[in-house]
Amino acid sequence: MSAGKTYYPRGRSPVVALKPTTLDIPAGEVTAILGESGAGKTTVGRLVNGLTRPTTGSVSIDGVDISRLPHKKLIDATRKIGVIFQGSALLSRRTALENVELPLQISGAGRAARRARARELLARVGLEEKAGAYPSQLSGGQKQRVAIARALSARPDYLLADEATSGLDSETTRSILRLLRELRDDLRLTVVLITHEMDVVRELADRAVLFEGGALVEQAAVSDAARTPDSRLGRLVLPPVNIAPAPPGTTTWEVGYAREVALDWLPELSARLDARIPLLGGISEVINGHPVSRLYLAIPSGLPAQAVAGAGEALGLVLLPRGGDAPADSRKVTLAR
Amino acid sequence: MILAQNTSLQDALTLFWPALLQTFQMAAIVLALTTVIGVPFATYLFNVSPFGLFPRYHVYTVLSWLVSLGRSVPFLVLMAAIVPYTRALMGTGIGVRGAIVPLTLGALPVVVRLVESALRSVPPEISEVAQVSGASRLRTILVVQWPEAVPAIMTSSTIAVIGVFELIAVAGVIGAGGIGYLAISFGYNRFDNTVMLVTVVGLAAIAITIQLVGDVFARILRK
Repeated sequence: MSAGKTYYPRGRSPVVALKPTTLDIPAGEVTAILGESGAGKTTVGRLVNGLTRPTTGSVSIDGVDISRLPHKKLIDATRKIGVIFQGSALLSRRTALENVELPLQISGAGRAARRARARELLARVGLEEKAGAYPSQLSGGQKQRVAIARALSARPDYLLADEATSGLDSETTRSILRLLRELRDDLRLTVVLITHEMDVVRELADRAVLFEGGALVEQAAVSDAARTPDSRLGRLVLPPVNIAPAPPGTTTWEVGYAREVALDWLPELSARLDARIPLLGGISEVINGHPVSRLYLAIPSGLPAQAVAGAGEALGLVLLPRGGDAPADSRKVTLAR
Repeated sequence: MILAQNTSLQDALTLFWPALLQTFQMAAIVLALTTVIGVPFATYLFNVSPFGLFPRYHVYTVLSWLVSLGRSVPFLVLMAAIVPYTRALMGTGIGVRGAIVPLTLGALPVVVRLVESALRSVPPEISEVAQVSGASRLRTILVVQWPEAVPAIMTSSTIAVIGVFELIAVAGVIGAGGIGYLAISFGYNRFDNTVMLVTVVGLAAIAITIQLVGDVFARILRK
C-alpha cells in the first residue's frame, strides 16, 4: 500500500492519522506493525481491511486496488482478510460456535455447512468442548481463540490481528502466539500483527515496521533488527541494559549474535586477542525460536579496533566499540553476517 | 356542610377495576406505538451519529435536537398544546382515544434515547466484525446491533414502561380515563380518601410488578 489518511472532525482541526506511507507486506510472512498508541498503526489495519478509505494514495490486495472499489466489490476483496479485533469482539448473545459461524452466515453459507466448518475450527483452536458456551463463560484466552477461529472461518489468505494479545497474561499470550504460528505454517497465511508488545514481535514476527506520529520510521527483518542495536527497532527488540563501567585501560565493546554460537567463544576470543576479557553485562532473548544476545565486554584499549573486530568476525560475532577511549571512526566498522 | 364523603372500600374497588383496565389498554397501545416508531427511529439516530454505521453530522444534530426538545416540554403542557391536533387526528380530545396521541408523543423521546444509548453500549468492533465479513448496513443492524443491544434495552425498558404508566396517570387531568382520572376526579376534587388510597396503592403495585418482571427478563437475557 501507498496511502495516507486524514480525518476531518467537525469543529476541530484535521487529524493526520497516517502520513503518506508506502508499505509492502510480503506474502507468507508475519509482519508486525509497531508503535505507541496514536502512531497510526490501527489506521494501517483499517485501511487494509477496508473499514476506512485512504485520503491519498491507494491500498492494494494481491494487485487489486481496493481504495476506490464500490462497496460490494470491496467486500469481496477484503474477504481474503480474516480480522481479529482488539478485545476479541465476540457477540455476547451468541455461543462460541455461533460466533465462529457469523462470517459464513453473512456470506450466505448453508446452515449445515457453516456448523460443520465452525466445529472444525473450534477443534483446531482447541475449544471443541466449549462450542455451546457464551462469551461470558469463557476466559480471556478462550475468547481470543474463538475470535481467531472466527477470523479463519471464511478461509482467508491473510490474517490481520489488532492487539490480539493485549490484556492477556504472559502464559496465555504465549499460547495464543503459538497457535497463530501453527496456523500460519499449516494454512500458509500472511499475518499482520498490530501490536505494542515486543514479546509478540520476538515470538512470532519475521518483519517489524515501526510507526511514530503517523509516519513509518523504520522497517526491518526482526533478526536483522536484533543485530543492529543502533536502530530504533534494534533497541526495541533487544532493549538497552545497564552495564558495569569498563575498568581503567579498557574499552567497552558490544557483541551481538543472532544465531547459535558455541558458548566457548569468550575464552576463544580471549586467546585470539591474548587478553583477559571481563563481561560487563548483557541481554539475551529468544527471537522467532532462536536465541539472540547482546553482551558487553571490556577489551584492553591498546588493541587496534580492526584486530578486535577481525577476531570477532573469525568467531562469527559482530563486535562494535562502545565508549571508553576507542577512536571515533572505529564506530563505522561494519561487518558481514 | 360535608366537604368530604369517603366512599366505602368496596365501592372504591368497583370504580378501580374498570379504571385499571383502561390504564392497561392505554399502556398497551402507547407502548406498541412507541416501540414501532421509536426503535427504528432510534436505530437511525444512532447510526447517523458519529458512532454509527453511516455518520451524517447535520442530520444527527437536527434529529437529536428534536428529541431533546420533545423531552424538555413538560407532559402536561405538551398535552394541552396539541389538543387541536389530537382532535383533528382522533376525532376527540378526551378519553382513551384522545390520550393516545399526547401519550405517544410524550413517551417517544424517552424510548428513543433509551434505545439509542443501548445501541451505543454495543462495542463498535462488534459491528465492524460484521462489516469486514461483508454484511450490509441493514444486516449489521439486524444481526449484530439489535441482538447485542437487547439486554441493555430490556434493563432500561423497565424505566420506560413505568414512565408510560406515570404519563397515563397525568393524562387523567384532561379526562383520559384510567386510574389517574379516578384519582383526580374522586380523590382530589372530592377529597375522597378511600379512592385516593386505592389508586395510590394500585399505581405503586403496578410499578413494583413491572420492575420485578423487568428484572427477571434482564437476568434471563444477560447470560
